This record gives sequence, structure tokens and C-alpha cells, in this order.
Amino acid sequence: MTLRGADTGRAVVGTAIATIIGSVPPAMEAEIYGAQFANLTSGSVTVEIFERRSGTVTGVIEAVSLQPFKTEKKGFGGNIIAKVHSEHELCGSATGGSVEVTILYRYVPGRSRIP
Amino acid sequence: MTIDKTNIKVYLPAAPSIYDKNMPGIDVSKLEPVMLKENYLVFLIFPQGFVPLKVVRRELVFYQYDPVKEGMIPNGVPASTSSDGITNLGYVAPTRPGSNKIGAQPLNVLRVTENDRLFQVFFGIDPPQLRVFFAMPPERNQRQIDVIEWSEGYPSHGWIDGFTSPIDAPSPLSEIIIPPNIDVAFGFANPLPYRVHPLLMFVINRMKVKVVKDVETIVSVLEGRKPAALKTIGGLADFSYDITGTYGIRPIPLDATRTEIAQILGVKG
Repeated sequence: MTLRGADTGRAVVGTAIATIIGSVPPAMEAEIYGAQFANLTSGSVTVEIFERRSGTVTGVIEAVSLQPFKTEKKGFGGNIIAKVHSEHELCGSATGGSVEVTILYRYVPGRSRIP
Repeated sequence: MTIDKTNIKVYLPAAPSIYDKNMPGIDVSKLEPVMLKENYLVFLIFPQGFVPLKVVRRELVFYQYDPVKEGMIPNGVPASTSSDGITNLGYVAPTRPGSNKIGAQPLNVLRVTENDRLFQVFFGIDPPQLRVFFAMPPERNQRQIDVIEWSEGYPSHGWIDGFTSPIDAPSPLSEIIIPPNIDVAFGFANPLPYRVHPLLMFVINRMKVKVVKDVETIVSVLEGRKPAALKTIGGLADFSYDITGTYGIRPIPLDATRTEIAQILGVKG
């Protein structure tokens, strides 16, 4: 799939909160088109992807249960699967272990800045 | 980690993105209704008065222009460090779109060099977030408001971005009318937190025009009895332009009488 102007956010997500997409510019939103979770080789992990502003979690975007050797992908059909608000970061954390998360996104003019 | 899920919004899949559509090539369907065509009347309105023209022949030119690779802005548009989305955006002041890729190294690839030519230019923008400003002549910024001019400190109005005018489907709002021997310049503002490399797609309606010398036709247009495209050149800025040297007639004031028009054109009223 080609998606003009798309960027990739990538982070290894563990029990501590990891930032996948840094603070979204003011007056912009990030539209998410796809999320890919790296394969686990052992153990099962639940990963939660959420948005955060100034350290406060404001919304859960996706929660995924990962099993070993099972590919988990969301989106990648070209449609928007979620949005991150302006001035928020997209973060992730896992119940145990760690897993690499890749997000495909684009910035668009924001229409709903949350204070 | 535990997350308090009270008051948490769940984001459902939104409507399909426009990028899902298969859009090969350049889509000019939005431009068709405003495109000047053969036999159309077009009155160019300069600060000193207007010049009545008729389109004789034309051709459509697509021109993919890379401002970075062609040397217009070699470093691209800097990243924004804005914390409010208004000030401290990445900014490049208006610069003429030159090219160092060809021998003559023109300072402005959109310059019209023949007196009987007229360009109607539209442009698409990539990346979509990029804001493009326009100046013509290059030292006269266009699309201002009265209380504050757009600038590096306040790039908040007067721009068009790639969401409004996508690179593969330029918008009529990006229209620029370029008469002979006058330069244009483009400035950029970048709201993204990283440096961008702009790409512009010019759709050029390249026309051969002639001066209308029929007083009745001109009067009919001024009285609203005959359709014509009336195009302000250079916005509200005052600038000097050699109308007589270019078109062989003096500019006609908008409130000129039939006799005055005939006098200026050197014909019988």
C-alpha cells in the first residue's frame, strides 16, 4: 500500500510507558492508518496503545493481546483506524516483556483541540 | 500499569481517506470551470486600470517543480518549533521559483517573456501540511489582511496548503494570472515538527492573447451584458507595470466612458 505523506512511528513497548509518536503539533491531529506488533517468540503479552498529554493519559486507542508466533496487524487498508489529538503523544505499555510496535500515521489540520 | 478508563473515548474507524481512491495522473476536473478557453474575454485589472484581452490560442502544460532540487530553497522548509500552532512555524520567505538544472539557470521558471502571452497557473502542493504564500511582484506579498501582514512571525493567513490544493488535484483557489515580464515568488510555512522537502505541481494554461479593440464589446462587458473573466493582477498592492510597453495601449479606468475608451484604443467610438 502506498500512502502519500505517511510517516512511521516505532518504539519498543514494555511495562514502562513508551512514546511511539511524539507530541503532535498544535492545530494538527495524527491520523493512524496502521499498527503492526512484532511477533513474540514466547509468552503472551497485552499491549495497550493510548494517547497522553502532559503526562496524563486521555484515551485508549487500541488494546491487543499478543500470542507467540501470531502476527498482529491493524489497519493497513488505507483507512483511518484512529486519531491522536493535537498536543498529545501516542504511547504504549505492555503487561509484561516487551514488543516492538510500528504505527503508520499522517498529520492533518486538527479540528478539535482538547484543552 | 493500570489506566483509569473513566471518561475515556473509544475511537471507531473513520470514513475512508481520500487516498484510498485510485487517482492516477493529475485531476484537473476542479479547474475546468475556471479555465480560460479560446475566444474567452479576459480583462486584466492593474492598479492603473484594465486591459481588455481575448484568448486566441492555448495549451495546457503540466510542470512538476522541485523547489529543493532546482535550487529555489536548497535546504527545504525548516521544522516547526511552535507550541501554539501560530508562531515559530518553519518559514521560508517568498523566493522566485528558479532552476539551476538547465543552462540558462532562469531565476523564475514561470516568467512570461512574449507580450502576446498570458499564463493562468494553478499549483498542487506536497506535503499536504505545507502552507504556500504568494507574492507578485516578488517584493509585494499577496493575500494580506489590513491590520497585519503575514510574515515569519505570523504565517496565519493568506496561504493555501496541500489539503486545499493536493499535488494531484490542484484547486482553483491556487490560481495565479501571470502577464508578461513580471516575476512571482512563493513562500512556505511548515507546521510539522520536522523539516520538509516541498514538491509543487504547476498546471499552466498557456495562452496567446490579443487586445480587444472593439468599444462595443468592452462597454458590454463593463455593463454586464457580455461575460468576461475579470482578473485582478497583483492583489491590492500598488506596483508599477509598463502596460503601454506590453500591450500597446494605455490602461483603461473602470469608470471610463465610451468616448474615453475609444480614445485610449485609438478607434472610432
